[in-house]
Amino acid sequence: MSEEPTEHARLHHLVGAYVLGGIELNERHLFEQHLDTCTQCLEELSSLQNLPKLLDAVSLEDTLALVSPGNAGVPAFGNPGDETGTGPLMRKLSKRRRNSRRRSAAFVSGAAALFLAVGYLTGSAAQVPVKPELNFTISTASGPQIQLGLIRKAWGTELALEGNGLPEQGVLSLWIKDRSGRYDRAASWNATALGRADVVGATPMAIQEMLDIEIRDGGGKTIAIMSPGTQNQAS
Amino acid sequence: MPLDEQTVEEIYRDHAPALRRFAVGFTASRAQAEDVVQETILRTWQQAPKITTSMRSYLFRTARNVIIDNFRRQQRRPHQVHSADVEQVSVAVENVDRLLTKVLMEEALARLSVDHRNVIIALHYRRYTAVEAAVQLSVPVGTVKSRAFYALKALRSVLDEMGVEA
Repeated sequence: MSEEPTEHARLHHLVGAYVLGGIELNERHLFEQHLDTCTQCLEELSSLQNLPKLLDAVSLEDTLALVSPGNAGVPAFGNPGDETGTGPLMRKLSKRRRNSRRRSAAFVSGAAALFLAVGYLTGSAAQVPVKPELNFTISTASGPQIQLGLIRKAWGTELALEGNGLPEQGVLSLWIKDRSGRYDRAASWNATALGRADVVGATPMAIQEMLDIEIRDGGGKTIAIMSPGTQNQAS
Repeated sequence: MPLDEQTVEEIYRDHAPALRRFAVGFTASRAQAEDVVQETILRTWQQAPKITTSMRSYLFRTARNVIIDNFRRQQRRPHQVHSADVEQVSVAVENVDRLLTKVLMEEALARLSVDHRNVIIALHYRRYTAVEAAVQLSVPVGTVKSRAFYALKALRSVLDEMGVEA
């Protein structure tokens, strides 16, 4: 049964008082009945219902301090005048920059030597491969064959994927699920006529935060799962 | 590419006091807290991330990692590892995370309007009903309910911008 727009608008605004616990009993029953038929209100509730738990991280006293006349709207932490100066920080920064340049110079000279030794004379580019920290292999008789390497980076994790037998149409994607159930898309690519893929993805997630890695087809269906979290693999 | 020095100095001036107050709860001295602050800003400088959330929440998360890394380093004993050490680390991580949540929520609440904060205080912290809150805030009951809705929407929006997920 559809709701009258005006009644929905009235009930929709109750979600705030409902979440914060200030709603009267009769209105609570009315709103909960409304939730049975209104997906919009249900989604709204879903996005707000965990806020009280986060609000409990701050005490009433600390919250009141945020609204005191002296500092309304100003975070009640830290004394802006309490500084030790930027001198020590900038000296450390200069030192790290020098160390970083020395390391870069050593790497460049080492890489250059390797470059010359391996490929420069033949005109081909040489790259020192970084050994992945974690490797997965999926091999099925009639389905995909996948090799996935995870490489730890300062910014997160690089994922190097090679595959055969993948879907030949649509946009494929690589998804990472962390231990709290959140997903991050690390890569997406157009399927090829031969079902092959050679892609590199990136995620800010660290390897130890990962639970599952999924490859999905163009319809969002999972066609392969690897589990860094449990060191298992399945497809 | 690392951040330039002027940006680093600005970050330090704008955020060091708050970071120091956060760090002092988990360090033995103000000098060590200052070390945490400097290490936090240096890591941010080195990684020079494309920050899509607020700078402050990013810095606080980095400070949290610095504090935990320091604690783990202190706990490390080369010749043996006790289960108590592992437990101490997880307790320390829990404590740091709890304070980090508190600090981030304080910043989020501070960004709300006074009206929105007051309705949250009345309904959530003081446990008033909407009718009682209307009396306390000297507004109609309908206004309390409406403000509660928009206050939570605004809070959710700020937390999303800060990268805090419920």
